[in-house]
Amino acid sequence: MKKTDHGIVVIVIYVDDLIITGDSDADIFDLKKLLKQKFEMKDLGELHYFLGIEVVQSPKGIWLLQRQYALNKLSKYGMMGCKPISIPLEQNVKLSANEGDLVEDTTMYRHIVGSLIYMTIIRPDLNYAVGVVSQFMQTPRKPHLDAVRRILRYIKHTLQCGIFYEAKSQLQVHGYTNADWAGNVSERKSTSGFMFSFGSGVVSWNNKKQPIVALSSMEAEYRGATITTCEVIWLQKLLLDLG
Amino acid sequence: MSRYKARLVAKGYAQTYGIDYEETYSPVAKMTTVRAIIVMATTKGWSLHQMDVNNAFLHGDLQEEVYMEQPLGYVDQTRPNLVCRLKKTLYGLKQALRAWSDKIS
Repeated sequence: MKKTDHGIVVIVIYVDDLIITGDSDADIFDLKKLLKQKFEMKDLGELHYFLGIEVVQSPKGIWLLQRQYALNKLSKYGMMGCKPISIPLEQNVKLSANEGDLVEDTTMYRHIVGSLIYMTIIRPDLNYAVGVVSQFMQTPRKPHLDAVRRILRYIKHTLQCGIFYEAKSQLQVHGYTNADWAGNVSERKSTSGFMFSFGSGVVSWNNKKQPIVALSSMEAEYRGATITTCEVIWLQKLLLDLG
Repeated sequence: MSRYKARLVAKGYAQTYGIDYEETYSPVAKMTTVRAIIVMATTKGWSLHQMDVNNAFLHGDLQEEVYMEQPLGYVDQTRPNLVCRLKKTLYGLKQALRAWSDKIS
C-alpha cells in the first residue's frame, strides 16, 4: 500500500495475482504502467475473477460468488444429481470421532473437505459445518462422510449465494462472538466463533474448537471473547492503515 | 492442440538448508484483508483492477550461491562437466516464492 500526496493506492498480492485499487484512477494507471515495465504482467482490467471467486461489480455494490468452483466440485464428486437441502448439518446430531464404520477412500474424504474449506472463504454459512467435518480428517467414518455429502447438498441448494457488499453503506465495524460449552462429545472441548461485518457485509469470521477443556460455560465464553478481541485489534490496525 | 508448453524445474529436493537456501517463509494476503479492501473500494467508489504476473517465480533474484547441472538436452557438448550458477530463481527451488515476494515488495 502506498499513500501519495493526494491519495492512496492499495495493492493486494496473492503470489502472482494482484488486486489494485485506490482513490485516483490516474495513480492506478501509473502504477500499472510501472509494474508492466518491471515485470512481465497481464493486465486483466477490472476485477472479475480472483482465486476462484467471481466478482460482479455494479453501481449498487459488489457480489462475491463461487458458483463455478462449486459446480466443478459437485460434478467432480458425483453430486450433480443430488437432492438439495436447506441446512448444512443435521440438527442436534453430535458426530463422534470413534463411532461408525471407517471410510474406505480416506483420500477422497480429505479432497472433498479440502474443497469445502476453500469454499468457506466467501461462505460464512458453511464455516461451522465444514469446521465439524474437518475434525475427522485423520480417520473419517461413515457418519462423517454422510455429513460431508449433506454439506454438498446444501451447497447445491445455495449455488447462487455469496456475499454482497452494498456501495451505499456506512463504514462501520460490528462484531459478534459466541461459544458453546463442551459441544464436542468425545473430548468435551468447547467451540467458539466470531463474526465481523464492515459496511453492509461480513468480512471476517471464524469458528474454532478451543484447545483447552473449559470448566464452565463462562470460561468457554471468555476464551471465545479473547480470540475475538485479538481479531478486533488486528482489524483495527488494518483499517487504520487503509485510512 | 494450439501450443506446447515446457518449463525448466530445478531439483529443489536436492537443496540443503543453510547452503543452498536459508529462509523459505513468504507472506500471502489474508482473505479478510482482501474482503476488507473490496468493501472499502466499493463504498468509496474506487475502481478495482486486477493483474497477474507471468512466470512470477522466474523474477526472483537469488541471494544464495546455487549451482545446477546443465539441463538435459541443453548440455554444452564441448564442456559437459561444467555446472550452471543460477542468478535468478527457477521453479522448484525452495526459495523461489520467497525471492519473488522480496522482489515485489
